[in-house]
Amino acid sequence: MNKLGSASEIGMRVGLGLIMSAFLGATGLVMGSAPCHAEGFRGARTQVEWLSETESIQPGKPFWTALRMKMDAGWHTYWRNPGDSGIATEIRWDMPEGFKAGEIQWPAPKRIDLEPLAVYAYEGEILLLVQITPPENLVSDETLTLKARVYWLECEVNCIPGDALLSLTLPVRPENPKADPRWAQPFQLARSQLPLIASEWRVSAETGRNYFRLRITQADPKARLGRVSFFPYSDKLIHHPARQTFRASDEGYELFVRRSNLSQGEVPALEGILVSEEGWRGPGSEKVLEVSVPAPSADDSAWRPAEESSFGALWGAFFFAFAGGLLLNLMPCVFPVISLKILHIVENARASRSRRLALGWTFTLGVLVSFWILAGALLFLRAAGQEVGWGFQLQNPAVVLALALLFFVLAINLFGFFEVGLFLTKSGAAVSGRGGFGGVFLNGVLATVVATPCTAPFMGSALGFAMTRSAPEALLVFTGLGLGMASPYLILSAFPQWVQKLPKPGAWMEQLKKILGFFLLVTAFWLAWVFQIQAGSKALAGLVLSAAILFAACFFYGRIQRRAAGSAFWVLVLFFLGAACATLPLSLQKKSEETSIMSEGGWEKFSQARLDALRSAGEPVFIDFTAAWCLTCQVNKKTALNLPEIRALFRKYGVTLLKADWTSRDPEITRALAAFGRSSVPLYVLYPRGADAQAVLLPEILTPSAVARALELNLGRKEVRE
Amino acid sequence: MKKYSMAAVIFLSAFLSAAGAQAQVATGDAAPDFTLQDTSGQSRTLSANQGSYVVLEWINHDCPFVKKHYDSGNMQKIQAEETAKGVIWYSIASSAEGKQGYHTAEEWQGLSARKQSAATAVLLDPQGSVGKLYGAQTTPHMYVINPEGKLIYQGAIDSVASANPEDIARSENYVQKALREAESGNSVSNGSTKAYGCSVKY
Repeated sequence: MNKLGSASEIGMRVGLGLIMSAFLGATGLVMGSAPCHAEGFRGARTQVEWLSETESIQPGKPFWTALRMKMDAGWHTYWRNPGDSGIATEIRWDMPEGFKAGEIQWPAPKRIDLEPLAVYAYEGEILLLVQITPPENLVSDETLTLKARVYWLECEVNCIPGDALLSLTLPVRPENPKADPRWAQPFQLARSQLPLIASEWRVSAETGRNYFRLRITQADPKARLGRVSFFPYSDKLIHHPARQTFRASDEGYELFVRRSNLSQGEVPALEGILVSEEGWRGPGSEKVLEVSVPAPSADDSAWRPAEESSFGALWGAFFFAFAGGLLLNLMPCVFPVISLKILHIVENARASRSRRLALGWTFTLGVLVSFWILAGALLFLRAAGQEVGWGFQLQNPAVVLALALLFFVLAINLFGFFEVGLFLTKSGAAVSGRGGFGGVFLNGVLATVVATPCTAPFMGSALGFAMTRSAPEALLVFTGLGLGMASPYLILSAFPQWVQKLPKPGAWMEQLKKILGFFLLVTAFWLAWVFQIQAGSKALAGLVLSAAILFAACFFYGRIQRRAAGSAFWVLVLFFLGAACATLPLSLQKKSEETSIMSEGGWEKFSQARLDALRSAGEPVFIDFTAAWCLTCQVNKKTALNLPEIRALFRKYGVTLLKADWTSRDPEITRALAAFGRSSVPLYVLYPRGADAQAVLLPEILTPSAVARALELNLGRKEVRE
Repeated sequence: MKKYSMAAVIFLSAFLSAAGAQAQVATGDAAPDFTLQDTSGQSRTLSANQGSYVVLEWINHDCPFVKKHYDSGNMQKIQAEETAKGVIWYSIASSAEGKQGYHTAEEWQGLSARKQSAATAVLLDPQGSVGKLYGAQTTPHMYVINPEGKLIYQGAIDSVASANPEDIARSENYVQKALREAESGNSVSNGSTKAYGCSVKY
């Protein structure tokens, strides 16, 4: 995204516009019907006018004119390449014999995203410069009228086509023409916004299968460059809405631009403009550079167009996904489910090898299928333009509610108040012991559902990678995650000798069950806490009520199972089950306006606008991308971020602390995460001092020393220098 | 083995939905199937038209580019010529409810009659799912599907990108060109062009 319309620039233009119109009013009064005048035209949302830089025409001598377009706020007209929709402004000339018009000199446009499309357009006021060359054989003191018909499309979301017949009346004079004082400044400003045609920066390009790579280098290896975006002259070359990846490379900088499906095979050259947010010769300098470079086909297997995909090759990603999945078993929120898995291993240790293996694979399949469903849904939603991210299933209060109740019931079950599927076990035993498969499969599913929000460092990277890749590649990464997560169970089921080392079943298992039940209960409480943040305290009260009634239903069900209560008690069980269902709507009410959790001392609520403001002021910023349902985030907060000594360091370096709370779906935060190639929390970002400073990412498991080191390394030295 | 086949089905459907939603239907590939209701409430399924050429036209009568072709009578003329030859012509409205170009089925019936549409049917896609499936970007955005169900053309309606009806006379109609080329057994010389028009109001 380019940011041509920076606040100061707009301010300057508005100011200039005011001065100009005041001036125009005054001169208009004085000059009356002066020979050189421009005829304006007011379209529905756009004012167009044709201006001449000079007051007269000298035979044979080229002079500059400009089409001035002023768009109403919120409306835009289009660049030479309009992007996915819209149409470029067009001028059709109707000039006296011998007059020639040059090409329109287009200033750099702004990219406007209209999900799922993107267009290149102008907002505010622009001048489209055109050079006119008059013929040699003009009669002096004759007054000539040049005409042009202008066609444009003005759009906000909906579009209105505009057209106007404009004319320019100028006298022919033999002497060098005088500049028209009214337009000197606008012309000067417009010229300063035209693309440079050369710079110290060298640009080369290559064509890969799915991306173009532009390399931007300079002889001076220390030269710095702010974010650069490519705007092609052809509308068929690139996939306009795709994010362009710009980053430093060994030789300088590289920019990856996704190819359009309208550009196939070889592309002779890339022509267009490169817009640098900070300017090509340092802050405040020219922002636009015109490029026309050959783009030979190149082997793109080593390209890494997505940020964060430092391991590059697909199998590397698969391996890291596998390792990430393996690590997931150790994350706090998977722990309760591991215990369920251990139970199954213990119970099946004495079964035949083939049955164990089959159970192992069933569990793996359960995990894999869940990952595939998640991947499919994620890809589908992503492609459908939805703002979703990893962990999104826990961002939906209804899902959290269901999970909390499920874990609560499972805990009651482990405490021994009732048994699950006794009749299933009985009938299953008759069918040669196949009864456990469904349970094991669901266990795999459950493990995945609970595990997903806790993303280990590997997983964050793998997901960032997957989100930027094609569907099959992303699915491969998800498969790796699933296999990694299920592998310990699979290995244990495959190697009986290791299983044999596990203790023999006995009374201790009942104790273990109760201990594990405690973990499930803790998980249920944690989910309830998450739910409270999402849905509010009234909804939490509903959840607690539902849980209590469910408990009663489970209690009586268990009594019936143990024949401690007669079958008449079924009425009670059904009554309580019905009551529990009836209380659910209480929990699913819309959250009333309650206080958010943003009021923690020292942290400001994250917004992109706030971040941009701080960044452009060069202030150091630390962003904590977090969510209540992310246990790793909570642990990091307790053990590192909120420690007094760390807070003191933040204060010492004057770091503004921004907290991006992703507990509920927040599209702005989803986008900000995506900007770092992530779709999961935690993510910790430190911007050092200076508007051009590159973001530093901290590890996902924080230690006080790591945070202190990052702060001293990135802020300490500069402080000394100042 | 039920579970394995279930897994396979899930994998495949996840893959397909993801691939479909990428909106990268390449010319020459099978046109993704869909079922939409027309303005009279009848379900229309693309694959039911195998054996005929099918033209898909993305439509929004409030868009100046669509007006260019309807107010001049150009679109209706082409629709009449082609449907007379047995071509199935679906105009698809993907404007979301509340956005420009969205109308109820009843309103659409009146609108199509007023505009004297000669399309086989106007199909309603307010969810935008078919639009996104095909990657429809603009109104109009045209797609031509051959009797075997393969996409043979996608892109602009004609060669002059403008909202000015006067330009129709000097432009080459790409849809009719693709149909003629395909009917004479040739491959379509330019199977995908850049569509021009207003953005589809998803």
